[in-house]
Amino acid sequence: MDLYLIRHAEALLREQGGSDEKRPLSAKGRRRFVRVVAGLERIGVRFDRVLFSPHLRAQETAELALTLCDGESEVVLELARSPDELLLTNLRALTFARVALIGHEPWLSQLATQLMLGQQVSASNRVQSAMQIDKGGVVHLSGEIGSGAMTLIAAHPPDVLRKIRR
Amino acid sequence: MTSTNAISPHPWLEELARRVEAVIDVGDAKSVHQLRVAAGRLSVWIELGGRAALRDDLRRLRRLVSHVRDVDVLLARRTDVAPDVQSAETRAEELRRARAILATSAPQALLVGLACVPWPEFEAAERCARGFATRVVRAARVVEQGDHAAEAVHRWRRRVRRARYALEWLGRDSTRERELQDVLGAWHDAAIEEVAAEVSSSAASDAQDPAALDSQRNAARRERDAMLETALSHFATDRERWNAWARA
Repeated sequence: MDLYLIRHAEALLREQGGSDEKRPLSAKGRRRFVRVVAGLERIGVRFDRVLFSPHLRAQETAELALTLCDGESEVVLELARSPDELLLTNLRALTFARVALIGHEPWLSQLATQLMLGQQVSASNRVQSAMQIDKGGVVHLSGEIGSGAMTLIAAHPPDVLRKIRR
Repeated sequence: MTSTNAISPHPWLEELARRVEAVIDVGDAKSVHQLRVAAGRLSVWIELGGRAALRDDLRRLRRLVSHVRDVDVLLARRTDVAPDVQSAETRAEELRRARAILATSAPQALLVGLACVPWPEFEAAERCARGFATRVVRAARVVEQGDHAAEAVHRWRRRVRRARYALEWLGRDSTRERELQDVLGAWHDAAIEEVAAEVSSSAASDAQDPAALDSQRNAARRERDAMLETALSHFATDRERWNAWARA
């Protein structure tokens, strides 16, 4: 499977008394992520399935990424928390070849670390992630879903993707 | 997000959560139907806000129990097409499959996601709702031009249903749209029975009389044709109303 871990684009700051889950993308974040999507398109990236966290900023990022998707999107609760065995089990059950996961830091980089290096992640003992994904950044892994079973193909910084758009 | 001019998803959000639980716990025909209704209404609410995320999830939720619903339609029509025992077994199997998925975190993810969505502003939703009418007019035109294949009529039926829900989210009168949806719903029920009769006829057991199955199928086909004619007539009467909404 080709797995693309995508951190949501830049969102508005939380308003006083507002909820973190309901923060929308900022106009700048939206504009910039449209260019990230154009960059991904330029290098031939397509998805069969887009999985996203239920938080609004991830939903809105997913909507922008859907132009690269030949299949359906799916909201996944486990992308809104530290990666656990349930997430890996659900990913293993997927039958798609190219899957995008749109979520949050530090959980995405924890997931990438686990998939590449096999380090266990638990709520009480979180690993030091091997990488940090910027907002709108994309990490491409390939291989079977499993701890230490995937290979890093590319880590695309958002500013690079924005520059290679058509 | 919660301005007085925004369209609240309540109480349908709570209804969806209730019906997911009810299908898991009870699994009766009403819960199954109402789960589909709640998912359909919330899908339209999402679209009125100009959003796309979560619509696939709502569509999958509707589809998840669609086979259970089809069996419920057959049972409600007291058809002789399929013996009750066989239908009940089919229903139980489909329900078991649906419950396995409803028991995962997928429905909770959908509910959390829906709760995060900003409520559509009324004026923007009204503008967006024109698209629902436009799609109804286009789908009706295809059927009026003679394409009476199930796919074409199903498309028209689905679009009428969504247009009716859009009107209701906007707080507008939907009496005529509901009538048309009811007629197309009757068309759909007859179509389900006709297909079931065809399947049963081709694999008739000793306990089933092939002539009775043929008769059942022909009756369902006549009913289906009659309902389609009624629907086309209903639409022709309201054509200006639909066109005006699409142009508004």
